[in-house]
Amino acid sequence: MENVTAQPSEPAPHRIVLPRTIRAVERALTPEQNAKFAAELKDVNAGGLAQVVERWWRSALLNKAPGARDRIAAVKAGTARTLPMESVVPELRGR
Amino acid sequence: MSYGLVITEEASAVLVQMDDVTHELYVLEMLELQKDPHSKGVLDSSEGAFATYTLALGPLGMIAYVVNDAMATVTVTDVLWLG
Repeated sequence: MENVTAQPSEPAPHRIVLPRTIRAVERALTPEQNAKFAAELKDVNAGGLAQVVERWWRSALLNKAPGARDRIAAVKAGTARTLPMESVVPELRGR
Repeated sequence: MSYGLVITEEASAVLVQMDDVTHELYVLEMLELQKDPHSKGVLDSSEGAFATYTLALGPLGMIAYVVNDAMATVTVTDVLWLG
C-alpha cells in the first residue's frame, strides 16, 4: 500500500473560526483597536462585559476575514465592485 | 427614507450558496435594513457619512455592511460563516 497522507482541509475563505475569548480577540485586533478594547474592558460594569467582548469579537472577525477590510475601504472610496441587491435577491424587487 | 441596497461581488458569490432557511432570514434582514440600517447591527466603526456594522444571520452566519448616509445606501460587503 502506498503511503497516504491526509492533509487537513482548508476552511472556505468565508468561514472564520475565532473563539469568543478576550485573548483570542486581542490577538486578532490591531494595536489601535486593542487600545480601545482594553479601555472598554477596564471601564465596563461586570454586567456589560459580554457585550463589550461580543462587539470587539465581531471587529476581530472582520480583521480575520480575507479581504473584508479592503472591501469596506473600497466601498467608502467608491471603488468597490458592487451589484444591486435585487439582481442577487429577486425577492427584494419592487419592495 | 428608504435606503438603496447594494452588495459586493464577493459577498454575492457567497450569498447564492446560502441554504433556504438562512436565505429567508437574509431577505427579512434586508427589508429591515432598507428602513433603518443603523438600528439592527453592531457598530464596528464610523467615519463621516459612513458607518460599518456587523449583523448576525442565524446561529452561524454574519454579514458586514457599510451605511452611507450621504447617498442613502447600504452595501453588504461580506457574508461570513462562523465556527
